[in-house]
Amino acid sequence: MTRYIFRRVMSAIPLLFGLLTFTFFIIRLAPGDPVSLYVQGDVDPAFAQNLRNSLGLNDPLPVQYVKWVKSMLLGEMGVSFSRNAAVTKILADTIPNTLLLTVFALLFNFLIGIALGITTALKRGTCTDHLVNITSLFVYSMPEFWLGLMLILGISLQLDLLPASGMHSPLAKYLSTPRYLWDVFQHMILPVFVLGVASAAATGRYMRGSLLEVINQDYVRTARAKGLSEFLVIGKHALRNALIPIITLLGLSLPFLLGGAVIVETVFAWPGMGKLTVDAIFARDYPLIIGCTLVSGVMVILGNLLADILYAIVDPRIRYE
Amino acid sequence: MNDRRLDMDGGWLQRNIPGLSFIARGQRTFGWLLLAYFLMFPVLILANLNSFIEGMRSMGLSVFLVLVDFDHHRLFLRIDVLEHWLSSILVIAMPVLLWWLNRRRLRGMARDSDEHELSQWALAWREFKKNRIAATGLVVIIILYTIAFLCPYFAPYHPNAFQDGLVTKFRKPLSSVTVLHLNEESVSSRNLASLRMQSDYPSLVRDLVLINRDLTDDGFASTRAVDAFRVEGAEVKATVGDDLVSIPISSLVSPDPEEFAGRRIHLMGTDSYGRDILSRIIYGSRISLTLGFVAVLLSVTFGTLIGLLAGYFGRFTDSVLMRFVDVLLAFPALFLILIIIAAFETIAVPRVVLIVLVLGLTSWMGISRLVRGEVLAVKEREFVFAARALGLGHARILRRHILPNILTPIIVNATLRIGGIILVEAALSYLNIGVQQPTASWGNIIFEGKDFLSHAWWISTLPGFAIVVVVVCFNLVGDGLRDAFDPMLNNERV
Repeated sequence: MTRYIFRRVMSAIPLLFGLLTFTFFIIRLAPGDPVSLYVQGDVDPAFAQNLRNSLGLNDPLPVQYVKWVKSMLLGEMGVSFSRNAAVTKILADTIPNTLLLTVFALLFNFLIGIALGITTALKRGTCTDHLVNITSLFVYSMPEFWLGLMLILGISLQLDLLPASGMHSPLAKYLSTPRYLWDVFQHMILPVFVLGVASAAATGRYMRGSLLEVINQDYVRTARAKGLSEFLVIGKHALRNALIPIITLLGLSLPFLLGGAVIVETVFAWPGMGKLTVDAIFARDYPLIIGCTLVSGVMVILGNLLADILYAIVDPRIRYE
Repeated sequence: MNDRRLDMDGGWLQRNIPGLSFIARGQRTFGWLLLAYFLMFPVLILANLNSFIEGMRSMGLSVFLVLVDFDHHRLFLRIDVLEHWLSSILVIAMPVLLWWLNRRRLRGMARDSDEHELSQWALAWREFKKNRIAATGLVVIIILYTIAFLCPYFAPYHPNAFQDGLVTKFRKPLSSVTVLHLNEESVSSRNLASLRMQSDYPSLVRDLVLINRDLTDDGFASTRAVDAFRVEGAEVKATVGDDLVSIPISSLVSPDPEEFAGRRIHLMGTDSYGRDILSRIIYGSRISLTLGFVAVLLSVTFGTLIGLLAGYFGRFTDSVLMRFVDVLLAFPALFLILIIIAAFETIAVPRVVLIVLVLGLTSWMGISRLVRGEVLAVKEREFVFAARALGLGHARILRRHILPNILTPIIVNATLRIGGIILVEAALSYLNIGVQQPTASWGNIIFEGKDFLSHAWWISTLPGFAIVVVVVCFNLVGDGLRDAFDPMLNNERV
């Protein structure tokens, strides 16, 4: 198993490198450069040229690429153009915020999704089943940002129950630790809900289908015939097999979550990776864009790896040599 | 034999009015729907007779002027007027097309009325029609596309028309605005600078400018919106916001308050400029619906091509293409889209085209994986070996032997994707890099309304419902198609 994980991590490195190279060329092939964005109006053209020189933007593209590869190999991410701080430091500040959001959204997604799937599968054909199915269809057909706006409108503006945006209240840093956590938690509820609810609906649907498929199989009938309680039949025998396809979803849902985080963080003004990436892209902040790409790529690849490992845990028939 | 022909032919009415033959043969729901759809077009023309005639006149005059002297008159070929012509042509062409299809179908049935074997498509269609919910979704989608292509005939006002924003902005849904109708002279003096265009046909040009103004402005230019008014001698005293304005009665269409004053109803309210939300949603449907469709077409074509190549040729081609797909898949699609749009937004391509291209070219990876898998399975089948043994070329084998056999999962997948693409397009508008103002799209109406959420909730709320309805319908149709193409699955579900 350890060897398998090691090999997977090794094979992820060229993938990441390809991803970064792709990003490197896409952002540099675009017309215009960051300096013309920062230096505007009646500024001495020589100043702009100097700035370009110092940022290394005047070199031919292949030279820039070689320099960039060299610095990446040394583990240097460079300095952000627009924020004037080391990229690593900016990332270190924002990654926890996004992780907080995505991890809870992931939990919400799978807990609620699996619960809904089991309920609807066991109550197939009843009113509950139809109601949940229709609701899920509508929920995952909704634009995330719109759902977010509607929740802000209803829950924050009309009912004044939860804060509408940001991660802390203005004076949160003066609060005691438990109160501070409570404050962050309150700010987190709406974004996590919006981020997780659509995928929870999708997970629920998959779970329902997968469980229905398993329930009709012979070994489940055998388990019932043995006189096991319904709880054990479903919980111990059926569920384990029904969960296998759901775990693939876990890996697949990470890119979606990160993409969704862009929107959700913008709607709720959450200081995370999504918002950082959008800002970096619009500021033509090359080092920061590369940094953000690296982080999202690593997260996606780790997610897939995690899914494969969970696979082996749930299904002992799967063995990685 | 002769009797039977007559029976199938069903008389003049059935031959010339689509839908009746279905009703006569017992397919009532479908027949009535088709009949209603067919009859909707003449009703639309009658309800918008004025606009229809104006559109036709505009088209005739413009074509004449442009043909006679292109250089001086090319300004008349404006995109918004062209769109109006297109709608006017479609509103006639659609019922004619339906009529012709109906004739052809009945004639075909009369010719070979014997029971013949149903093709895979006909079987799937029969399955699909049985699925009430999916069929309803399809009907809604057809209605929405019809509205999108004929928006001047459905929208009450022009989407960008606004006048006297102080009075008309932030009107609640189901509210109305009092308007005073100005007469032609006072309107012309106000904004007809383009009349000074050089031309050998000054009177025709004048007519055309006036017609085009009405087509694109829907008479907003000839009205004045006020909060309240009263007649005082030869003047009308009107309150506009906090101001009191006086308008001479001589500049109005008639001295009679009954005739010069009217009400403009805004079913879904107005936005921060006083533009009608319902009209903007209707016009915005063009962007969302066509963009979603074209982008999916693009991504399916591209994805299928890559998948076919990778799956069919295998080995090196496969490894290279699929590693590339892996790289792209390790990227949250939205990041990729953002980077590309932000990078190329300065290029002189209309924003809509750029978005279609980017959405199309960033969403093909899933399809190509699907296609590759299917090809790997199909290419080991005997008929492919046979085709190869016959010495057929790769292109022919791919096109005639492999592609037809993997078409159904592609179609199902594409239908399910359209909804997703519509959501992404709306999200781009929300990040303010989608379709730009003043062109209406569902996403940018929501984006515009988000700053006024606390006191004008309807601006952001209502377009969202439109998005949800469309995406739900596409998902329903996609699910329905999947079930229809896959009878095995269908039996299992019962």
